[in-house]
Amino acid sequence: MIRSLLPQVLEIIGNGVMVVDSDGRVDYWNRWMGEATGVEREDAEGRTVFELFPGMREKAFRRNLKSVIAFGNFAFFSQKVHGAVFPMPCAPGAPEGFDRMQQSCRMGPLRHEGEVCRAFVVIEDVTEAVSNERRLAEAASRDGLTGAYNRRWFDRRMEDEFDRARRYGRGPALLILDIDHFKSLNDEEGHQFGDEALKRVAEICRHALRSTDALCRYGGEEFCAVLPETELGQGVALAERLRTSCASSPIAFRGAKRSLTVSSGVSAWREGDDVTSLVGRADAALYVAKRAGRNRVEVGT
Amino acid sequence: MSGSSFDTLELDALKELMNVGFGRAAATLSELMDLHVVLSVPRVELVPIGELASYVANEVDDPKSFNVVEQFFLGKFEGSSFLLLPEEEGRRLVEMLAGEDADADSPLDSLERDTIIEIGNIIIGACVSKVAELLGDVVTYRPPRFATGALDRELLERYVKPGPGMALVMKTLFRFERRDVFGLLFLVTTDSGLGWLKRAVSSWLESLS
Repeated sequence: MIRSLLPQVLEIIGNGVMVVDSDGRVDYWNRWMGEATGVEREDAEGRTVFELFPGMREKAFRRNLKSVIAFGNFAFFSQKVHGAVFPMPCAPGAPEGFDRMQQSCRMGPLRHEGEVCRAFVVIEDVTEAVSNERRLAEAASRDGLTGAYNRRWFDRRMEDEFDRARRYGRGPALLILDIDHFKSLNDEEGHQFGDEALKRVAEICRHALRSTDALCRYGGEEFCAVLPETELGQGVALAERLRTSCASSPIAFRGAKRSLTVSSGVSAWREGDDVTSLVGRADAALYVAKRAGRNRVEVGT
Repeated sequence: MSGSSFDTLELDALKELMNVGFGRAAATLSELMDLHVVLSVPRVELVPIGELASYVANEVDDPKSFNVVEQFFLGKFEGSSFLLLPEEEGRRLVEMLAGEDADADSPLDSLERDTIIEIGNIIIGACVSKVAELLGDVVTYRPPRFATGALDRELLERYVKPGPGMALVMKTLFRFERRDVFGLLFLVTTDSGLGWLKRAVSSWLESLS
C-alpha cells in the first residue's frame, strides 16, 4: 500500500518538484510549482522550462541537464551564483528586499530499465535564509553609529580590490579623511555632539560617493573611502568636494551649532603596491594636511 | 577480501578500463557539452589509507593553494572523487565560462567557487559514471563539497577518514583543450568495495576476450 501513497507526498511536500525530458520539456509539475508560479499543472506540462521561465539562466541549466541525461550526474544550483534559477515571485510573507524567490535547486537522473530517460528537479525556497544571512552580514560589517562599514570590512574589501588590481591592472584610490579638532569639539560640546558630527560627516561623504565606492569608519574620527578603479586626480577632486561640503554644513544639535572642517590624504594604486603601502601614502598625506594647517587635501606620493 | 590482493595484471586491467571510461567521458563532454577536456592515461595504485593524504600532496608540484572539489559516489563502485585545481587555474576556468550568464553582482570569490564546483561536478560525474558503466554499475552522488587552501593532511582528511586498509587511487591529469587550464582527478575507493571491483574488472576482461 505504501507505494500507492508515495505520489501524495510529491503533492504536499514544501518544495517544487518537476520532471523534465532531455529538452527541458515538463512532464510533471507538482502542486507547489502551481502555487509558486500561478501556472496550473495542465498549462505547464508539455511546455519547456525555458518557455515557462523566460529569463532563466538557460546556458548553465542546459549544460547541467545534458550532463544529468548523459552521465546520470546530479547537478546542484546554489543560490549564491544563480539566485533564482527559475524566476518566480517571492512567496506571500517573504522577507522584504527580494524581487524574486531565492532558490537552491538540484537535478538528477530518473532511469527506466537502466537508462536515464528523464531528470527530476527539486526547488527549495531559501529566501528567508538568505535574508537572515544578509542581515547578519550587514550587521557584522557596519559601524553602528554612522552606518559606514567597519574596519574589518575595510580590510577584507581592500584585499579584494588588490586581487582585482593584480588581475586587471586597475587599482583603487584611497581617501582618508579626518575631522579637524574633533577632540576639542567633543570636550567643549559633549560626546553626543561629537557623535552627531560623525554621523553628519558620514552622511556628507555617502552622498558624494558613487555606488561602487565604499565609506568605512577607519578609526575614532577618521573615515576612509575606497574608490575602485579611480585615478589620483579624481580622488583629489572628490576629497576637495567633501572638504568644501563639510566646511559649509555646520552641525546643529540641541541648540548648539558649530561648523567643522576636515583634512584628507589621497593616494592611488600603482604597480607593486600592497594594502600597507597604499594606506601608508594616504596616511602620510593626511599628516601633511594636518601639519599644514588643516582643512586641506594632500596627495600621497 | 583485501585490496592488497590486486595483482599487477588486475591493476593493469583496471587502468585500461579507466582509460576507456575516461576516453568516453571526454568524448561525451566535448560532443554534448562543448567542454573540450583531454584526460591523460590514468595511473592506478594501491595506497595505504593512512598515507593517502601525503600521497596526494606529493602528486602536485606546489601544494600551497588549491581548489578541491570532492564528491562521494555511491553504488557497488563506491568512494570519493577529488578534483584538484591549482588556484590560478580556477580563475582561468571562471574566465573561460564567465560572462555567459553569471550574476554580475555576486562577489568574485563566490562566483569562482561555484563555477569550479559546477564544472568539477560535471567532470567527476562524467568520469565516474563512464567507469561505473563499464563495470556494470549505476552510481549516485552526494552533493559536491568545496575547499580551498593548502593541500595538507588536515584538508584531505576532512574527506578521507584515515584508517587501516588500502585505498585504490586512480589519478588522471586533465586539461581543457584550447584553454590552458589543467588539474588532477583522483578516485579513491576504499577497502570495502575492492572485492566487488576486482570481480567486476575480471568480468570486463573476459568480455573483451
